Amino acid sequence: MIESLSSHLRVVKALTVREMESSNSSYVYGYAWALVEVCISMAALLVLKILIHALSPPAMPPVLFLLLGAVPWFTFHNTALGMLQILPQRRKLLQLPHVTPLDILFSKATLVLCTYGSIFFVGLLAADYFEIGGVPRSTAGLVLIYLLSWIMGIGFGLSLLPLVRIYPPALKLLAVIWRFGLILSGVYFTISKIPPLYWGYLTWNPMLHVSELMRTYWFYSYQTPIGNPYYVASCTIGLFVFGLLLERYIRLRFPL
Amino acid sequence: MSVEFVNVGKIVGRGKYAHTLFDDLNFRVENGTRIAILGLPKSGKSTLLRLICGTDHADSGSIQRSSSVSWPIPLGDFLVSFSTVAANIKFIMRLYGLDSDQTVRAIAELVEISEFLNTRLGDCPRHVKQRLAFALGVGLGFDICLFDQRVSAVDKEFKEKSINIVKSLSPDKAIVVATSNPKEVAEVCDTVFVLESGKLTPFSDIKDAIEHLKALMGMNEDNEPDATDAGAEPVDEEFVLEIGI
Repeated sequence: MIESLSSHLRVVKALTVREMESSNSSYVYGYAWALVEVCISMAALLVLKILIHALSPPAMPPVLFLLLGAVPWFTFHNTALGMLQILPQRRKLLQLPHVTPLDILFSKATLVLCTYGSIFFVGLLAADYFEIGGVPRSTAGLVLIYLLSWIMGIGFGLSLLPLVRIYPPALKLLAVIWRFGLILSGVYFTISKIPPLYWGYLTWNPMLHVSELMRTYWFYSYQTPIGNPYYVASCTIGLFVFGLLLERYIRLRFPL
Repeated sequence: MSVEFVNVGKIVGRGKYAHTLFDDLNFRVENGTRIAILGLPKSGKSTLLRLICGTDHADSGSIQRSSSVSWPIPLGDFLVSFSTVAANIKFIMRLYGLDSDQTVRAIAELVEISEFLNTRLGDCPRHVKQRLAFALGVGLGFDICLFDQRVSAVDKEFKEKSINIVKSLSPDKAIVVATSNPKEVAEVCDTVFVLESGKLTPFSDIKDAIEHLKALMGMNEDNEPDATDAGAEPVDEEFVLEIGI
């Protein structure tokens, strides 16, 4: 059991390094472009936020506010989307003994975490320095909720994998859902800016809880009225276990 | 140290196209054996190799592996054109828990491509990819090396050397060649099976195995299609030329 697990970890590590080396490898600076792409996306979001007028409470510096909402969302989104797209692209790796579809999926998820995690860390430090955001209220809470958003992305990706495997055009439909998700997940607003009448329609979304909790764990000035870490943890574990079971079921019945 | 098939069954295709490829297949690859598996095209040779190395699963029965097994050589689709030759070697080494610059160099030297180590694979001459795929399979120390179709699937200049490399593999390593090219097999293997209707029939002499294969193809003594076997499936011309009948 432990030997098998360590073998899988070794395979995932090798695949992640390969992904890192080969992503954008047709360009001169290779993987650095992946990081630049994320920075450009964040800058675009910031401009958009300024254009649509800030909905953040006045005590929150705008860049920190945006980073705390956007990076967990994009980590979740890109992990799930990457997992839905990677298998057809890397099918040839399955010709190698010891490489399983799950290894390829987890390597993609790990690469997303490495990319967004590093941007998040550096971005938060820089924004905190320039905007004088202060010391976070709970660093452990921030890290934990961020990691849960990543694992939720894995679970969400695994859960949707059978749908995309059986009906590939579903990926196009999902693109629309992602856009709604971005809007509904509190990247641009805090729930306190929304009339309580509508909270019941929004709080089912665990990613809204993530955005709220991230801001609560950073800013002393903001206490979320709805963010519930147990709800986030329950959704994450539920999606992850359901996704793993579904992936196993579909792998045996619809081999790649 | 071996790979053992116990009552293995394999169904290929789906729905109305599904058919049983192997049924109750029992087979064992011991370390140090050199096995050739001859069979008609689409008889299941490649599937058998995939089952041996574990990239395909059996639908019934069990396959026990206590040896490290290579992928079917010279498969090299997993190599990345945008990465250098060295990066490709390192990837495979990391995958199997090996990591040393010396091994990278040794792999490249084995097939005389050291000068391309730091060149992107896509920018290298075509033979570099073929040789690299071959070198990775035979040079990383797998207990069992599998070959699909050819032992020497490299450029002409290196063909003879590649056969010598395979011949010179340590005596405790096993080789399994699934092929329709008995010429090469005779040089490398000492045990022959013919794969027919999902069953492996052992032959003590490779000539007998070839004769049996000819009969399966519906060829008579003059290497013409047998008139009595009008319903036989047409056979790939290239295959007929390859096995030299």
